[in-house]
Parts: sequence; C-alpha cells; structure tokens
Amino acid sequence: MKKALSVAFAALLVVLALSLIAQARTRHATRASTVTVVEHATTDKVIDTGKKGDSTGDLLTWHNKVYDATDTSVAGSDQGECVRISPKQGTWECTWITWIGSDSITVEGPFYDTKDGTLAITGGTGAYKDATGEMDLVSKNGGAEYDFVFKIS
Amino acid sequence: MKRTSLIFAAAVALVTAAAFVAQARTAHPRTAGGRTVTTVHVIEHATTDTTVDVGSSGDSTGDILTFSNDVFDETNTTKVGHDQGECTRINVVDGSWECHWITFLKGGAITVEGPFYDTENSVLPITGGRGKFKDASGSMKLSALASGTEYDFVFTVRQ
Repeated sequence: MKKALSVAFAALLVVLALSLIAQARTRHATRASTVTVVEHATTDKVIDTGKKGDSTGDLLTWHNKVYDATDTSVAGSDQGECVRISPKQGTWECTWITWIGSDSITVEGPFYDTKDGTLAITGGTGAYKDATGEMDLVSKNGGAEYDFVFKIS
Repeated sequence: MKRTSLIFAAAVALVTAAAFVAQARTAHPRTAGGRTVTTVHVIEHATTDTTVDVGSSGDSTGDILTFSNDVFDETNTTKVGHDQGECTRINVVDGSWECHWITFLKGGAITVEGPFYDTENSVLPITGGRGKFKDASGSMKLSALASGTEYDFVFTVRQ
C-alpha cells in the first residue's frame, strides 16, 4: 500500500509539473510587446473635396518611409488615408498600414492637427497576424516626422 | 501509518486538483494563443468596380474606387456570397490603392484593410469578422485572375 501511494504521489507530481509548464508557456504566448518606428512625412497630400478650402470630407493621403526607433535606418514604409472630420476641431479619421520588414500592422483612429493621438490596432500580417492593442502617434519636428509606438497585446 | 498515508495522499490529490483548475483557467487564453486556423478561398467577379475621379482630373491621388461584387466558391462555379468596399488612390506611379472591404459569406462576414496594386498581388490583414468569423484575425491573399476581371480571395482566418 505504501509503495502504491508513493507511485501515485510521483505520478501526481509529474502531472503537476506538466501543468505548471503549460501555464508558463501560455504566459509567454500572450506577452505584450512594443514596437516603435519613426515616419518621415514626405509625401502627405491633401485633396480638396466638397467645399473649397479646408472643409469636412477633404482627403489626406501618404506613402512614406518609416525608420527604426533611433531614426537612422529605414525599417519599412506605410500608406494610408484620412478624411477631414472637423476643421474647427482639427480632426481627421484615418486608416493606414505600416510595413515593418515584410510584416504589417493596420490601425484606425484619429489624427489631430495640434495634438498627439492614439489609434486602435486593427490587424496585421506575418509576425503581427494576431495583433491587437493601440498605437500612440507622436508628432516630431513640427509634424515632419511622427513616432509610431505600437503597443501590441 | 496507514491513516497518515491516506491523509498525505488526499493532500496531494488536493494540490493536483488545484493545479488542474489553474490549468483550466488558462486554457482559454492558450487556445486564443494557439488559434484555430481556417482557409477560406473564394473568387470575386469584379463586375461593378467604379472609379470616382476626385481632386485633379484623371487618375490622381485621392480618387476613390468602389465595388459591390458577387463572390463564388473556389471552383468558380457557385455563388457563395458578395462583398462591398472602397479603395483610395495613394500613388499613381506605384499603382497603389489603400482599401477596406467586407466579404459576406454563409454564416458570417470577414473584413480586411490594406493595399491593392494595379499590376501586382498583395496581402491584406484581416481586421475582424462576424457570425462564424467573429474574432477573426489573420490575412487575406489577393490575386488577380483573368486580367483583373476576377480576384482570388484566400483568407487565412485565425480564431
């Protein structure tokens, strides 16, 4: 009986150990990450639609290069569009895709003339195929460059 | 001694049971991390594509392309749904558009956002879904067929 209990105890310890390993792997798989790139806004173009001049419905398009977090090496590119929502409030609603290497992340959300914003991550491909989370958009150098801080969860 | 062994065994069983409960609680996120992957292949017949000339006259940045087309099964014989969406012209020289659309299929729908090119194929992220495709992520490969009158949509759906 004592021997049988010892064997059962050992078996239970193995099960417990395997359970804890599985739990640790899950924690690793769901770990969040942050990816920062710097966009050089060299191609931004406003298309005047509807009322002449800055008005609701105008379009903003771009296809720019993005650099690594140190702003020294090209890390990829982006392309996207915004629709003017309110000139008075300085608001746009935007969607764009950012390629980092051969992988990509899409976002949707607000862009403001005079303040920074946060957009929702809507998807991705490659390494970011299950991406959710948010992206902080931070203006630099008077709007000539933008930090894209992807906080991927 | 026998009683002591039984108590010890009961304690070990309790610890093990607690470990199983903990594992069960993490089973859902683990399942989400190791998502089920489903491939959905349909063929769009691009019969309604319309370009709206915006801004400068002719093909120019900001033009809009809209569509609402039927989609067929992978053998291209049976209609299995439809789609609708829009693209904005990004760069005429590169032949690039930025698009988002929804594809309605039996039991659900899938949304995508990303690039479409005049002369090359592309991959778009899946941005969501509904019905049987609720919580979808992953990507969709877009390939031109029949000189651009039809398109392969190959969704790699992760749920």
